[in-house]
Amino acid sequence: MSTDNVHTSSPSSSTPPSSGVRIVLGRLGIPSWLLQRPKLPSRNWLIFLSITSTVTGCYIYDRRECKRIRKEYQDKVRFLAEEPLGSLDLPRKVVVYAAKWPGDDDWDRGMRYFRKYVKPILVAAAIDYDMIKGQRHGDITRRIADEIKTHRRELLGLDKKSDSVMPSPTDQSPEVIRRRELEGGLVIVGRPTFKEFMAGLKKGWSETLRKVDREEELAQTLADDGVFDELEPELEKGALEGEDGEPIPTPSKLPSSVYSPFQQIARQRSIPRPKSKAEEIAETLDTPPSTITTLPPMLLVPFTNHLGFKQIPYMLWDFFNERAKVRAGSEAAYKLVMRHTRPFIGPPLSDSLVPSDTSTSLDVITPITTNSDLGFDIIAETFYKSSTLSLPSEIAKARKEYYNALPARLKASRDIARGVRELTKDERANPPPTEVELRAERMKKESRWTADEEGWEVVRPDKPTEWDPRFADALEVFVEPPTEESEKVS
Amino acid sequence: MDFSTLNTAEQAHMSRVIEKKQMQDFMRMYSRLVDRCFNACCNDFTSKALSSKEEQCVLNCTDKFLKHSERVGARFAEQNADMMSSQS
Repeated sequence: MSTDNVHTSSPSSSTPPSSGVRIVLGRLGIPSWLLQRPKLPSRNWLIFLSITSTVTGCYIYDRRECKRIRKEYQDKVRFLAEEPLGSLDLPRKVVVYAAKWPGDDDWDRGMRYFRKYVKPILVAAAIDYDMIKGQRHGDITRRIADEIKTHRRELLGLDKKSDSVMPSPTDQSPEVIRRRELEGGLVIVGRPTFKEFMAGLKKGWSETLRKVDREEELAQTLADDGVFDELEPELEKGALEGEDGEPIPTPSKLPSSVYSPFQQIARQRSIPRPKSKAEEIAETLDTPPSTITTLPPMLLVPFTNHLGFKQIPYMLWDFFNERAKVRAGSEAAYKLVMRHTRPFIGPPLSDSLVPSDTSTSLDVITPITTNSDLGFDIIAETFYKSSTLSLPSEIAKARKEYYNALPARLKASRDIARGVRELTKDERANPPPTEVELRAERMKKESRWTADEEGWEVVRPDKPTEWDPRFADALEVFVEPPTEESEKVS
Repeated sequence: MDFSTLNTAEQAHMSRVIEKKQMQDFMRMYSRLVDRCFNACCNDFTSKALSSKEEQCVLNCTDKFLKHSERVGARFAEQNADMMSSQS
């Protein structure tokens, strides 16, 4: 009987409440289920609810903090957008560079970081931006080198800037354009971009001014390879001599050609190519100048792209800590908007005089970079995937495979073109590429491979950032504006 | 618009046509300006006279409208020039 009482006294929907207050309230009309003591859910439910609520809470807190931080920085710079601007004037403009991260097929990640974390503050401050993306390694290097070469040519008077077809009221004089450019700024997202940028600067200011068409040069190099040669004397127009790639010597050879049965020897021989399109520039003009025109101040935005299975913990941490990225990006944008700059800190001068510091030369990351701006965001390089280091060997392997398969395809297309044999059933469905198409395909592949190789040479982690002593006076970096306390002190 | 290919009679005709179009454009812009500023500024018809507030509003409205139109024209001319230079 006592056990029955114990069971029936457990709270259920039909048990009347026990204490006095509850009975009174029950008589007043409050439903009985409201008057019972609530009990905790079961252990499993407790575990589930605590885990989900923790995770959700972290996420929600993080996103709310992100919004708050972004709004705070936007409010700090909004006063610039409220200023009146004449109807024919233009706002301040910055150029944004973002290169491809090594190992990432998605080359847009750097620019997306800029758009998500830095751009909102620029938009709030009414600053215009030009986004320049690097789709492959070395794209930005080439682009900057070309721009600098055109600039040098204009400075020396070799090229005239073409007059605009339609003069418009917003045309600006060169001095005004130059002043706007210096007032603007450069934004560099990530260490690969920084390396590519410096390499492009160095190339642009050190290389020759002659107009060099990369495709033409590559075509000339490739034309001298005997890859597309064959038994009959069908020589390309550009080659000065034709070699025979086939082991069988043939009687039909042009008398002007130098007979050489081995391709390797011919490839190593350096041939003076007919430079019909090259311009002759005086030696005095072609030497690199000793001072370079100052560049607009640079904003170095640290950016790390996490890739791969092993970096998933970092990705999870970043997912719940996006406020750190928002703060970093907004802080960088604020620096750009407030326009406090300092000169660029290059490598220390003593480094060139004392090269025999053995302890430092063993490190991959040399200490000269830790105190100078050249070591910007060097920690990001530790996050490169290990597969990126094998990029040159991958390119070499692809090249080998392609050239091994090429003679067969070439023979097939030539036989079909000459009518030696008919198309098989498979070939009727997918016609094999003609010789012209094969040449074009080879050209495209070779240009892509050489571009990748050059670009990787710039970006690889064991190579330090390029530097030239002439840059020391021409570069500036954006820094935080001095806070009010330090202003009062100083 | 190059006029070197046309003789004098056609040139005169073309200039008349252009002048007429410009006049129409001007009238159109004026009517849009009046419509816009009236809708924006004058909402209280309890009195016939224009109050000083409305007067100030009309001044600001015309200023902004004309400046806006000038800026849009400048951007349009820039885009046009870019297109022309990329084509030629």
